[in-house]
Amino acid sequence: MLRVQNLTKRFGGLVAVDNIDLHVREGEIRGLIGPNGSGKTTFFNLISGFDRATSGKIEFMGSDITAGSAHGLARKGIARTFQHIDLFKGMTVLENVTAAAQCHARPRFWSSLLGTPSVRKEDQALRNLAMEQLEFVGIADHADDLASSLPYGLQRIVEITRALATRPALLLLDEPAAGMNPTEKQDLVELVRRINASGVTVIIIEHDMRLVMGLAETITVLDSGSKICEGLPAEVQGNPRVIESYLGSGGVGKKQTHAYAAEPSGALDVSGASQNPAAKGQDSFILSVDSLNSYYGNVRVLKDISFKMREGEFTALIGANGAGKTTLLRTISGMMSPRSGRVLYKGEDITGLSSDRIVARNLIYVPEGRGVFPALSVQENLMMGAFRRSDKEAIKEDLEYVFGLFPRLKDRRNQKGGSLSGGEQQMLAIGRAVMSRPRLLLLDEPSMGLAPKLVDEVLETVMNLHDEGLTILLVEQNARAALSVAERGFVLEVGSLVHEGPAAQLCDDPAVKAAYLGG
Amino acid sequence: MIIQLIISGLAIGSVYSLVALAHSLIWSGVRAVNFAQGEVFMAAAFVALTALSGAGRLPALPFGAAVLVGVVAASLIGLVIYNVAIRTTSKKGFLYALGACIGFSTLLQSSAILIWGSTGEQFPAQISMVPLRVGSIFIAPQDLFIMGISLTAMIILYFFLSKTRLGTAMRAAAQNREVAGLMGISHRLTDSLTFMVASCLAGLAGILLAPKFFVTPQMGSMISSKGFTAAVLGGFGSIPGAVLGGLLLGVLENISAGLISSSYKDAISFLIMVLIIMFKPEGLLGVKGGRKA
Amino acid sequence: MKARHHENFITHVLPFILIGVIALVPLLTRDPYLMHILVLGGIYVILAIGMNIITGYCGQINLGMAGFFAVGAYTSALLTTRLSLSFWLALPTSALVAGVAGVLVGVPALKVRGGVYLVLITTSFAGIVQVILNQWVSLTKGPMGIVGIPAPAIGNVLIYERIHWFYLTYAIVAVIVFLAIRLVGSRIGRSFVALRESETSAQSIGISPAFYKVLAFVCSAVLAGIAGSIYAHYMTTISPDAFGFNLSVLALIMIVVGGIGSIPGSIVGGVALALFPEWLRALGPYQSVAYAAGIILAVVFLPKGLLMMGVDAVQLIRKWFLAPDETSEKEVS
Repeated sequence: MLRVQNLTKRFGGLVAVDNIDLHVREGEIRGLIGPNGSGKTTFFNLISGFDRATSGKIEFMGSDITAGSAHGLARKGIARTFQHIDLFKGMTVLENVTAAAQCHARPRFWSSLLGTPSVRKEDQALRNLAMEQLEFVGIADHADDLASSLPYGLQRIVEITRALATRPALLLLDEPAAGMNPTEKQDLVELVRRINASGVTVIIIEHDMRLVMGLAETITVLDSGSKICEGLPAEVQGNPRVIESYLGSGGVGKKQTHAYAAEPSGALDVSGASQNPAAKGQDSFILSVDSLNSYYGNVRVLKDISFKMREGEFTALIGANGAGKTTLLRTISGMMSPRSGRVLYKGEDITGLSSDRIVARNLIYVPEGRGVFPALSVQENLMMGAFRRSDKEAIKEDLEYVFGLFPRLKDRRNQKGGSLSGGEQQMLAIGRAVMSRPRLLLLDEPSMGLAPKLVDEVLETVMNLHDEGLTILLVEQNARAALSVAERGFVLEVGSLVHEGPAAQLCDDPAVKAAYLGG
Repeated sequence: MIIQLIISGLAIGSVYSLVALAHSLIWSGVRAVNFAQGEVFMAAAFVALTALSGAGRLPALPFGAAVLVGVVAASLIGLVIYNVAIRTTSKKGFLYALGACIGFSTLLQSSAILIWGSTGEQFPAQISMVPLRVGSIFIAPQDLFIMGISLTAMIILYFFLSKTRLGTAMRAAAQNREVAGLMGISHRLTDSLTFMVASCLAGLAGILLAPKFFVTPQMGSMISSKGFTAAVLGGFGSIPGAVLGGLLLGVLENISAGLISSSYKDAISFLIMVLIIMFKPEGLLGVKGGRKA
Repeated sequence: MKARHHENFITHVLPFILIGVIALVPLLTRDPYLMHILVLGGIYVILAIGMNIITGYCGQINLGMAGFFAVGAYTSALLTTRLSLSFWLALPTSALVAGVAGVLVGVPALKVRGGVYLVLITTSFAGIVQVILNQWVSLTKGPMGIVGIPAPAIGNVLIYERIHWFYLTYAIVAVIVFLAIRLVGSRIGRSFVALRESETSAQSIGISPAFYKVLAFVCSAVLAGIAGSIYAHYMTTISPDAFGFNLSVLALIMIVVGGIGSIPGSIVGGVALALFPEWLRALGPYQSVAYAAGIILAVVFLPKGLLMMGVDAVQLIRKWFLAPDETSEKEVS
């Protein structure tokens, strides 16, 4: 029913969707997976008319819909939900669904204005249709609740119901299980099966591998915009290219020479209870995170995270997309406030301080995506790292030091930050952090979007910084690379710390693979 | 004839540039719009006029000092507008910021009427009114003066933004607010500073234009919309765009008024605004696909 | 279910109670000045409902209401003075012409994403109208304005006394309120709100943004045109300076103060902004300063608008005094 041929979408120089072919049979449940930034959502946007393809063709039930508008395609029978819940917040649940139920009705301006009997009857029919959908899904009790007042899991369901009310032939679900608890997920699987049984073809993007592998008959895997694999769930799980795209490859060659002691540090505290604080005074920890809970809106992203880090340690925090890694770093660095829990830095409670205050304490965060100021020169970018410092001589020395670390930055000191390559931008971001004289450095996905050789180069520098005594907390989706440089590793899975151990051991732990790929 | 029109157009255009710069600085730095900019412009003109002619026991100040007083007053008004109208409404949405700004513009206008009366006053000319003759064209010395001061202000702004630590921090915050916070740059500091600098420029524009026209409490509304047109023409939020947009608007207005009819002069600006927004919303120097205004 | 009844009361009953209360004022006093203020208030209410449809319901900021208002007023004035048309023909014609102007603004406004450019494009439209009114002297008489706009007649009775105008205005207001409630409660109103809440989601369920945004612009322009027409005949004299930027601003302030996205809120906002400057008259020269300060305070501190503040207050009082008595609850709903 859906035939996609050579579909390509470019944003400027970036190829988000690269020459994809896809055929979906009527009545199928198709799983669409792939690591962060692999182009899954862009692909949905193209099919549903929210983005225009650069080239290629989309055929839906025999007609060419490549140039269709979003609202037109909705009327043709393609419904979708969104990665970030997007309900009409000020409306009740029933109104949300009724708005969708009127998809195929004409506006009937004058009749509505005059309230003629025929339009009233039609309106009642629309409401009944909406009510039926709510009953089918099983949330009719909430019909009169304000959409925004519902718990997160239910909002997801309302969004699906709204999509269903347009009576689609094809339903696109974009990460419907994100932020749901296990029971809700079970209900969701049940619901998707029932929707499918009622004759709706489903394509589902999902990061919860267990869920999607159990639900879909066929799985399509995307990586950097290309289709790398398609097949039965079991085939996909065993495919080496898929494993590589999720867990990363390579790692710094120096790994063997780094003979890190594999002794358990005991600083990680997965259970949440403090572990013999008497033996090691709290002061010896540079960072201790104590049952931290963070939310995005109603979504609980961090669930009782507790861990500790000693001065001078190099720790890697790994986990699949959506595990909450970035949220954890953002919470520590003051860019967002936790709902509950504490962050202690050198014994001082810094929970909820604004980011500029936390920076003043030399806890420096290098954000995901580097955050280089694109229109500032390389040198200006670096000087912004030293914004709070007034020791001119030392700043000059540090600048030379950074240029020593990254000679390429020195050559490009007057170039604009935005004109640098991805690898150079990453170096600039790290160099800028060094200019802030960090005691504790939080690095967020430095390898993202970099070629393997550059990943090695960046991680090697990070290792050197550590050798000079810097305490580092590295967050990576590329588990293999991260574990090859760090001493210790934590594994984060959907908001909880599930494993910890010496990096070398975690590297070969099957549980780590499971955390990424399920099964 | 044309050259003469262009030169006087450039003079008024340089004033538009200053107001457009104020709009663009605030938009790029704070992601907000000061819809009371025109009244900052007006208030500065009145304050400078009062300082120049003396009031009560206060002695009359020389022109330079009067300009300084007017500009400082403008920057303080800007600071208050940011903290009362913009910061308090930042979470409620644009509609409320708009309403609060409009409240401020009414407040400033009615205060001006209360203090200086509604009829307006003449701002004494600082420069000889006798036109200079260069070949066959006449140039008003006042136009040269306006252009000179505007240019100086722009150069100072350029050095402030590119060479000082605070200026660089303001640019950094304009490019990425979150990351600027991670550098230890406080948003309240850069936002307040941006409003103050922008209001200085708008205030200076008011004082420069004052001798050319009557100083009235209503003088701000037209200039604010001209500033918007100039900013949009150059690319809303772009600093060089604001300068270019202002000069271009001044020249276009003057030429069309001189060659076609002066009665529809004010419509030119509105027309340019509509056409640009419809057909080239990123403006002449703005970035295509940048953040939407 | 109780919440639904409460909601129903506010959207369907309260507006007519408010109009009823205002209509009873002449029983207490027929002071011509107060009648004058209330007639203006009624015209403001129509304007506020128009503003609320485009901005409050559909979420498109429109600071060009003065332009539509002026189009309505001048159309009506010209038709009756030049062509001696009756008011009853001029009124719908000016609504129609204003509606066409609504298309002219609505279509370019579609190209615009985000509030700032919408503000700029709508103010530019009103600015262009203003320039035309001032400069096209042969048609509009320029800054002099049009004088001697005839009073409407019902049968053989000419309407020129204040009290007659009062009843005529509020009769029209009542009809418009009735239709507006129908409109915002219909599938069209639902589509408007859906677009306001999330354009992306609205598209995903088949709502065409272009169609409904232009429709909302037309509806609000038509209402502004009607308000303008009534204004012209009531004042008998119009000139361009009555239709400046301040009037567009006033429309915005009315819905912010009264309640965004609320028909009864528009009634409260419209009448309140007619009365408010009068209450401040005692302040003498400080009147307009206090007025502006009041607006800033209202915007910053009254996020839900006067109406909902009032409703909340009534609820609180009821909770205190009538909490055990459930029957009273039912009576009101």
